[in-house]
Amino acid sequence: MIGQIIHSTNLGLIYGLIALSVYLTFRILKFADLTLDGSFVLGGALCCLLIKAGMHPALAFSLPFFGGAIAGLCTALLHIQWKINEMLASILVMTMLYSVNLRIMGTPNISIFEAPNVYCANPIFINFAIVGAILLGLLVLFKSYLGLTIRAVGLNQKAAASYSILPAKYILFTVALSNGIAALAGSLLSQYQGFTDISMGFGTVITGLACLMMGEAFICRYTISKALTFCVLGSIIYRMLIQSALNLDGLGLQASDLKFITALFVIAAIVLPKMRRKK
Amino acid sequence: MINMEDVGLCIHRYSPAEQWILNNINLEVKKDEFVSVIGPNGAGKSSLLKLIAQEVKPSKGLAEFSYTPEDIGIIFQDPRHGTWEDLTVEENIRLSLYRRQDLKLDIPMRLKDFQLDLETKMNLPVHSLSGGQRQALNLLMATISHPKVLLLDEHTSALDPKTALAVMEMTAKICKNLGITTVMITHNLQFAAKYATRILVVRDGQITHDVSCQTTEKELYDLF
Repeated sequence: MIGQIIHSTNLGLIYGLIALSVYLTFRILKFADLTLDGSFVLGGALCCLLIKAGMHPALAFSLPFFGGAIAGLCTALLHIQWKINEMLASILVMTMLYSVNLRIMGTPNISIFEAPNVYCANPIFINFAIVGAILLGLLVLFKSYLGLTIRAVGLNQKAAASYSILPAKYILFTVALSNGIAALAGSLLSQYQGFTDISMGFGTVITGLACLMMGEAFICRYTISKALTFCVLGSIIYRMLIQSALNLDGLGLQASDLKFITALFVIAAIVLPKMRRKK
Repeated sequence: MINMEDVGLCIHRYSPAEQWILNNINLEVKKDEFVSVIGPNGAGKSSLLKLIAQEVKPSKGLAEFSYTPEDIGIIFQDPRHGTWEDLTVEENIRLSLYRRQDLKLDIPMRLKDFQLDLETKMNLPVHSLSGGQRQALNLLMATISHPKVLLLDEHTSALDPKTALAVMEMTAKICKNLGITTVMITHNLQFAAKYATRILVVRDGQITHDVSCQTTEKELYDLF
């Protein structure tokens, strides 16, 4: 039981990074970015490749950030430079990333069980430290003028333009940052579970959205700091709830039902408040 | 500041839907002038404002400006267009200083120039303000970095008469104190007659009358 709680917390922390990525693009920038599905696997693939090449696990964990950031830049560029709808642009890059990831990995599944990893101490401490550091970095960013400008671009591009704020460079920066963080999540997960699978990115954005909505349900007075922190906390709570549901024999749920439940949760989180407002 | 000679603006050019929305515009606006633009709906007032804001280039003629788009402050009819509704008043003001981040301003001091109790609302989100307070905030944000030109697109038309008068008084006072050249589109002939130093009447894409500030509201009504 304790072991399951610890495992859920670890997964919750790692997927908390995905929730942060989703928050950056979907909530702050109002940019529907599905590239995250591909960037997540890209992070894992690059991490495994670097570890197999003999690189230090800490470096192998952090370098994939740039791979994800480049993928994000491609999506943002397609949208800004050639006016391709943001969702279509992200689907195109995500589709390309599938092939890129297979090229990097060589096989659909790549294992690093025997190799050294970043978990030199109890994984839960390491995950808390890494996710905490990234969360802290984002909190500092959104306390700064740069963070305020990013929020302004997401909220009202017309007003931003009238004060000479060029939305393009802030969109490029934020989408790259978001995908970089998603790649870090993939990288961390591959070291935690000891392998990367080509299909592990499927539904990542939906999982991130579910974690994000779970976190938002607990926020009373919305502030950006609370929203970022509750992304991670929401992810942990979400993982524990999923684990509890899977443990309840009466429900008859299997691990393969996870994606269905996740999507159902997101639908409920969107539809229920609307139904309540209609009443 | 602004010099236009035989300027025209055409949409859908070289297509069957080609339409000249502005034609034969000859206009010279000097520094510190407060120009009011009046005319019926669809006359081309907003298109003229877009030309002055350098958002569009003329399809023909010569247009010269002694300022860049960065030297312009704009206030729209809908206060929501110029502000960030979910951010606080203070954050909005900080964002309006984007191009002049070096400017050391005593924001509470500047807020005293503005009526409508803005200084007590600094930490509140903009969506919690009244329409008048939002437009006062827009005015502060548009003028805080001392623009050379202020463009007002029916900025009092969505307000009740009392608040509209208060916002108009503030606008005139600030433009005079800071020496900002102002071009104001309005349907309020009383404001045009009272505050502008010069009034342009636009009809069917042309400036049909260019009259001085001595023109009365009744005379403007006849020209409209």
